[in-house]
Amino acid sequence: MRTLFDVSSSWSAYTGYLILSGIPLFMALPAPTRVDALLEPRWSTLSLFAMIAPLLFAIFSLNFGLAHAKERLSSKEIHVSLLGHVGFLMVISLPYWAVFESLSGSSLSRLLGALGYVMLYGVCWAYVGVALGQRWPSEITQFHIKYALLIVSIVGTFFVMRPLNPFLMLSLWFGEGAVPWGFVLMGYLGLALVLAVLVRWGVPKDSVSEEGYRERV
Amino acid sequence: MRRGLIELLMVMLTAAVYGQATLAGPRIEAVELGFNGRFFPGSLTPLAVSLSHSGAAQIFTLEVSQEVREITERSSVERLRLPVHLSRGARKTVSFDFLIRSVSAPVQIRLFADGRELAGTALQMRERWSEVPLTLGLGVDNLELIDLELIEPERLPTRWTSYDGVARLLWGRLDPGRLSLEQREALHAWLLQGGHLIILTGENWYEQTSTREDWWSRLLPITHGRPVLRALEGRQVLWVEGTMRPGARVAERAHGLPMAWERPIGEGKVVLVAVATLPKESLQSGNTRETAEQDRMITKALGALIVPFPSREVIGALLILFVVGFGLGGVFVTRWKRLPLWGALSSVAIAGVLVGYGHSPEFSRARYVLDLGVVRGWQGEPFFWEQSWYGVFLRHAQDVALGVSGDLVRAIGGGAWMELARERSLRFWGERESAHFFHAQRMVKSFVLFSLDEASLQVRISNRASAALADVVVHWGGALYRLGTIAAGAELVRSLRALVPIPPRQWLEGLSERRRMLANQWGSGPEGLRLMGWLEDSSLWAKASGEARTVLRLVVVEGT
Repeated sequence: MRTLFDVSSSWSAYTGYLILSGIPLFMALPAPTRVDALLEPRWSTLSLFAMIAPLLFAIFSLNFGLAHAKERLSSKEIHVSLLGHVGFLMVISLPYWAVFESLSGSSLSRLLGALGYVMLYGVCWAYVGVALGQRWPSEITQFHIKYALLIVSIVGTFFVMRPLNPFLMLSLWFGEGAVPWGFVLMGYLGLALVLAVLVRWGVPKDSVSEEGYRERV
Repeated sequence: MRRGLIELLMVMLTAAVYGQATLAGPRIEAVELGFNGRFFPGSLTPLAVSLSHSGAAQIFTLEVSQEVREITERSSVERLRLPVHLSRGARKTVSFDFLIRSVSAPVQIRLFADGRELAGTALQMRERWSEVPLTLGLGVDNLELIDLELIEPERLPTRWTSYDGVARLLWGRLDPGRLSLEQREALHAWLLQGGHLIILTGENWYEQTSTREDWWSRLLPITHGRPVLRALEGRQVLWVEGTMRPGARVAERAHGLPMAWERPIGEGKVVLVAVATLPKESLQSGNTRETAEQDRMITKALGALIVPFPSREVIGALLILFVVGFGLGGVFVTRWKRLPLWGALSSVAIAGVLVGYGHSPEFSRARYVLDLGVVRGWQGEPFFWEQSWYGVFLRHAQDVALGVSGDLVRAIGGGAWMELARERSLRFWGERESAHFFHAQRMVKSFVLFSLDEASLQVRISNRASAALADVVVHWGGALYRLGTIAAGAELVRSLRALVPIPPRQWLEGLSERRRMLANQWGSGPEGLRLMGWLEDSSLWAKASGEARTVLRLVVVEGT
């Protein structure tokens, strides 16, 4: 089980995530400003961060899934390792979300609610990655399919199954109005359902036998 | 048959219980609006709501509201909420002032308990509104004026805010001693703010002076008044004569004699007419309120306010160090197996620190309030008139309860409502990075005593405020004299001869931007004796947590 949390090979991916999602946040850090300048309509990169960070989170999680598909791991190992990798990605991005929470004026409870959704969303995409990687070993095919799937799912959920759209969900969590609990609950339950389906049918039961695992170790 | 009888009894019992429950609740018995039902739209109007209650003692919330739908179909609600305690069997009249914005929308009056509406009524406004500010008449039933509202002395307001829609008060055959202390103070405060009191004397003189009232004598433009019988146009008329008081002037003459004297009281005036009838000229004046320019002032001042964000460099540096440190960790991660764990723990710790710091006032405030205003006083008058303009800038969307110091508060542009629960607070919903403006007025007991001995040019100033009066100057003879700061509760005596006179322009140019803004608006007045100073102690005014409030008041006391 020691190899399950081995994130050393993906360290550069984590660093890349921090750099890419950090850029809009750094740009959003406000300087002392006159009130009349703040009242002018202007573009704030703070909302850009709230869009880019979950999107990158999904892409990086998907890549983790694809990477895990290449490994000769048992289904249990895949579950634990995927959760470890996606969880680690979430944990290292917490300082960013803390700054985002302070700047946006959102409450800590709303932030935690939103991060729970992002985490669940990322885990789903990680399992999608495993399923893709095991069915289409070619990297070029994987590249086309994963981005096509991402674009279709994000654009599509603006129109159907809207609780599964991360941008809509985060805009509700970080928005100014009251949280529509029904919608939010549907989002969580929807993701949980998708996750259950992916875990059940996306990951083969024994991608590697226990003996094979011992041999590998 | 028996079963039917039981069912009938049950129905009757239910009805009785329901009826009892309904009767046991509070009721709105009557509502009195304005002066004899008449009011001037767009101004605070007195409302008296009579309530009765037969249930258990309870605290209710009385809500008065008016929803005004504009031409753009956007609606705004003017709302006032105040707590009312009613004991069992109580009958109570709650009196307050409410801003009636429109005559086309009804005023809703509702009584709530625990968020449940228990009683309510709606007042239609169309019937008795006035196109001009009202003229009230006390004991002047012989006058034939269209817009005159005759009221009983008992109905005269006890709060100065109730006079908001009143321009003039005609005083005829009435003993001033019939007014209560509250009524006198309200009347005096209204005069200081621009009200016109027109006293018709002549044959009313005896009634007006039947009881010797010092407060009344001090208002009059003449001293040693006495009625004299004169033959005018073939009629015998009682004509009051007297010695004109300093500061007063003859406003009108008839038959070569003073017919009306006028004396300024603050922004208002008292006109004393020598006879019991009203010269037409005396009515050609009204309240002119130049608030638009002052409203623009606070918009400009708030716009220039800097929202400080001193943490930008600190947070930026911290995040950069975090990313660089994490990236460098990749070099050692293969050797130190526990590095990811430490990386995760460090991330959680940094996030915790940032959350704590992000909620601290050093990081930033949820809202910034700029509170600029003027306190105007007149030597010898019992009250100072404080006007303040609040500019509120919200960094985040929030439900705001803004503590304001004012008897009369209006939201510039609407969208706010007033709550009088424990202390006066304005409630409104503000969106992220939005600005809101309010204007508040109140009368306060005069806290600066000021006199100048013209012979020795010795000025004596006593500051009774609980804050220092900063950078005090005295205007005299077209020049200003700097007197420095007078501490709270301190007195200063100094001769102007020992001070260097400064031209007003030079003084103005030496002021900070905000001070100059206020000084331009109120610092220049008629040539004569005037004291000016600054109050900047924010602790004097209510302040909520998470709020950065900047308070500045120009204190101007006109001398005589």
